[in-house]
Order: sequence, then C-alpha cells, then structure tokens
Amino acid sequence: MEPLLEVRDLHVDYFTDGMPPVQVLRGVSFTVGKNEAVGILGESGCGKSTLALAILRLLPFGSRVRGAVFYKSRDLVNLPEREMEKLRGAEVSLVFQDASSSLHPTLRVGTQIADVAAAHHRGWSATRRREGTEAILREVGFDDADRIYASYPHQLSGGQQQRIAIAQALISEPSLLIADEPTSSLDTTVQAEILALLKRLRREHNLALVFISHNPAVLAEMADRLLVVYAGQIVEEGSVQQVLSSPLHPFATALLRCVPKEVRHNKADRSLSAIPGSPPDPAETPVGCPFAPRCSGRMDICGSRMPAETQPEPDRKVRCFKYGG
Amino acid sequence: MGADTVTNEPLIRVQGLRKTYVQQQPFSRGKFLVRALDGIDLAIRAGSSFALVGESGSGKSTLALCMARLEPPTEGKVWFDAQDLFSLTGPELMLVRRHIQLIFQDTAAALNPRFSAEEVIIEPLRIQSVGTRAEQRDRAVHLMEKVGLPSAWLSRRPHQFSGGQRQRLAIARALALQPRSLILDEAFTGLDLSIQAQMVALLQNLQSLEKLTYLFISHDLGLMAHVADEIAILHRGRIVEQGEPGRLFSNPCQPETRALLDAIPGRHSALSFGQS
Repeated sequence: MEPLLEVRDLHVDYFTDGMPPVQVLRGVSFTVGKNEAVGILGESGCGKSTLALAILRLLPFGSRVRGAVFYKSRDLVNLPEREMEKLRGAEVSLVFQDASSSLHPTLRVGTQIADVAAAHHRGWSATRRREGTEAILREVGFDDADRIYASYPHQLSGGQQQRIAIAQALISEPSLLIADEPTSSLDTTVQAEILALLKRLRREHNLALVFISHNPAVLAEMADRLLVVYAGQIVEEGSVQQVLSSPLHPFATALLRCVPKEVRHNKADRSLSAIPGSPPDPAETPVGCPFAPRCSGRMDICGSRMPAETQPEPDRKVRCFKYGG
Repeated sequence: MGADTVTNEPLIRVQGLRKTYVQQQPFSRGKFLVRALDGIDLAIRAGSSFALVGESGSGKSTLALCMARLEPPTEGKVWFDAQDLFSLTGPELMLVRRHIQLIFQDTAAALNPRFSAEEVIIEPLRIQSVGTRAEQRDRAVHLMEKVGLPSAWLSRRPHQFSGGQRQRLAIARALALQPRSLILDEAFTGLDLSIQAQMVALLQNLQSLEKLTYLFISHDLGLMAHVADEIAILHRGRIVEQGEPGRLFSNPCQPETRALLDAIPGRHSALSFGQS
C-alpha cells in the first residue's frame, strides 16, 4: 500500500557565519502509513524536532535540506510555497511542546481557532465558524465551550492550552498530525489526560500520527511503530513491542534502563541506570559510530567507520556492528 | 537512598502547618482566601529521602518554601534539628540556613546569568564568610569534580552549560556550605529521561557520601518511587496518604493516590521496557 508520508535520505544542515555547517540530520528514511502512529524516540539535540520542521518546510533561514519528502506522492521538498501553504494544516498539522508560546497572548482562544477555520474552510460563514470552533472545543474535552471560547491563553492552565493547540491543529481536518513532545512540560496527571485525548481523536478522525518524545513510556502508549534517533540518524526501527521489550541497538537498550520501572525495594537496587557521557556535539562530524564513546559493548571497529543499516529480523532495522552493520 | 545513615530522629518536623493567601479579585473589591496548606504534619528522618507528590496547585511548593523558612506560615511550626525555625534570628538563623539548601526546576532562572560558574558556587561561601579566597576557590574546584563537571569550566557562565549540566552546577552550589539537607523542587522536571537518570545516580552517590537528607517535590509518582524512602501524597493543601513506595504502589488507599499511579505513562501498555 502507498504510504501517506515517505521521507527518503533526508539531510538537514544548519549554517552559521564563519562556521562549518552543522549536520543535524544525516540521512533519515522512513514511512508513515495511513492511520498509523509512528513514535520518534531520542534525546535532546538528536534532531527530532528538526525532522518535524523539515517535513513541513518550516526550518529557519540558514538551513539546507537535501533528500526527499513525499506526502500522498507529492514531493514536498520541491512544492511551490503557495501549494505548501495550502498543505500545512489542511493535510498535515503540528502541535508543539509549549502551547503557551504557540498561542497569541492577546487574542481570545476561540478567535484563534476560528481564524484557522477561516483559512481552511473558505465557505464557512461567521456563524458556522463559531459553531465549528465550539464543536471542536467540546471534542477536545471542554464542556463549557462558550466560556473557553472567550478566554485568553493566560487564563487557562498548561493542559487546557495544549487542548486549545490540539483543537487548532484539528479544525482543518488533517490526515496527519505531528506532535513534538506535546506533553513534556505537563504534570503526569495532565499528561495522561492529553495522551488519552490524542488516542481518542486519532481513532475518531482516522489520523496518522508522528509522535516525538524522549520518553519510551509515553511512546509505549501512543505509537504502533518506533524510530530511535541518535545523532541525526535512525539507529533502530521496529514495532513498539519489539523495540521496547527487546531493543537491539545499545543506545535503545541504555535509554530503556533510564525508565523508572517498579518500586525500588532496597538501597542496592540500581535498576535505574544512567547512560554515561552526553550526546555528541552536532557540530562535530563523528568518525565511526556516534554512540561508540558511550557504548558498553564497544568494539574496535566502532571507532573506525559508521555502521550501515541492517535488517536482523523482518520489519526491523538497526544500525550497529553487533548486527553486521 | 543511604540506608546506613538513616536514623529514627527526625531532622525536619512540621506540625499543624497552615498557609492562607489573600487574593485580590481583579477589577473588583472582592477578596478571597486561598488555602494553600491546610494542616500539614510530617517528619523527615535524618539521612532519608522524603517525597512530596501532588498535582500542580496542591501546595507542594508552598510547603517547601515554608520548610526552607522563605515563606512564613499562617499557623503551625517547623523544626529543624529540634530548633523552631521561625523563632530563630541573627547568627543562629544564619547557621541553620546553611543546612537547608534549595534546588529549583528552572536552573536557567535560578542561577545569576552574569556570574561565572565559580562565582555561582562560592557566593554562598562569601555570604556566610567561610574560608579565605584561596580556600573558596579550592572548594569550587572540588565541588565541580564532585558533581561530574570539568573544573576547567569554572570560568564559563550558566548559559554555556546544557540543562543537565546547569542542574549539576546548581547542586554544586547547594553543597558548597556542606548542608545537612537539600530541598529539590521539581529538580528533574524538564530534563531528558537519560539526564534524569544521571541526576538520580549523582544524588544517590552524594547522599551516601555526605549523609544528606533529601526532600523531593514532584508530580511524578513513578520516579519518586525510585528515589524516596517515604512518600506523602498532597492534595489541596492536605496530606491524603503517606507511606513507603512499595505500600503505596501495591495498596493505594486514596483516590488521589490511585489517580497519580494511573497517570504514570506506560503502566497500561504491558511492555517490559527492555527487561525481556
């Protein structure tokens, strides 16, 4: 079946005056099927957010994109800007981590959602826009849509603001929602509410989802398939069950040991173990596997060249010398 | 954490603590009372780790501020090592303050951006007039190494550190006066999972080395079960349930505790997270 989104060998470099280009993404390829939920797992600075922005061509000035992005077989890298504008929101919507900074501080939130409706539903009258906005507010869990419509962002809690951002993303009825750490700045209880909401909306709207997070436990709830990103490359790919229960790549294995699991029963329990060192500086081009300096299973070959992608099991990919690389 | 140093003597004791704020209603003369803390009693044993867990607005941070003597309570008492915190003044208060250090969530805001790392660390020593200039500098070098930062970075400013490194710097500063207790207010929130695990390991090591007492404040019950010896669940200014993590997880008695347990991500997914 034709995938909804296909990313092929995507490279993103950032240019700064007088500095060599910083390679943030180094050849990323994956697909997202219709109605599929793909989780992207990685640490800060690995290129996860750059990937989301690159798909929608929202990268800042001074960045260079190479490779191909196809959405419903349309080439997004070479699409004219006017066509791209129509596609954003109508086909692919984006929700960010910090809703308070993506909402306008001095406009009522209802107006901000209705503005999106006006841009995408040209035929809608003002009354229809108001009704549509209140309907989507109820859908994202506000029983008092009337009162919320007239509220300003600062009058709402972080969780409520994120619901507004989700309503704004969905009123244009996209087929794909990209969510970039949408719950990372929320309380765990509010996070659980937002995750449940996204799951319900996904089902009701037949949405495909790209969910970006640093937390495997969150992705366990949200994703069907998982991509693990390290230093701008996909280092492991598989179903969420495969990757989270029996990870192959040493980085995935180490990251999963950082998830607080059951209760710690005695002082000697060090089941929560940290990954030594820190992620590589994207400004430096690694020789060899970028995870090698932090890897417990490091071999001689790891420092010499970059491992290639192999397929140790059907529907599973990994980039590590342990599996042939 | 730190089993060998736990005694039964409470280092910090809180009794009947209430805190009420008067809030002015905008654009009217109406005033209303916000009851942030509504009768809190608790005791934290020396050398142990105690966690206050609750949702936003449950009063966690207000309680931390009262326990650090940064906010006077409306009613009730706080004892630190059997001394009534709010009756202390002058040099006695100064001495107690050394032993209650705070670490906040947002280190970018908590650390003075115009200070170098060295100035950040030795500022508490200067304020308390501890050591000569050379001794202070030696102590800064030693503390940087202790928290796992290269001492060559002492001349850097806070913005040149990553979020996790800044949190280490904040810990180095907090340890400068060799305190007996640290209050960590959402110190893990906003950090990557891998950095969070590094911080937990660092704090566990420091506790066994320095015989520290920790008070963690968090909304993340899953993580607190890993770092705390005892957990109190705070809801609307009251402690609704308190106990050892094992007991809270296996037999939660209150709906608020169950709600916090249910909110732990991944609990419903039946995945073992790399354990198979």
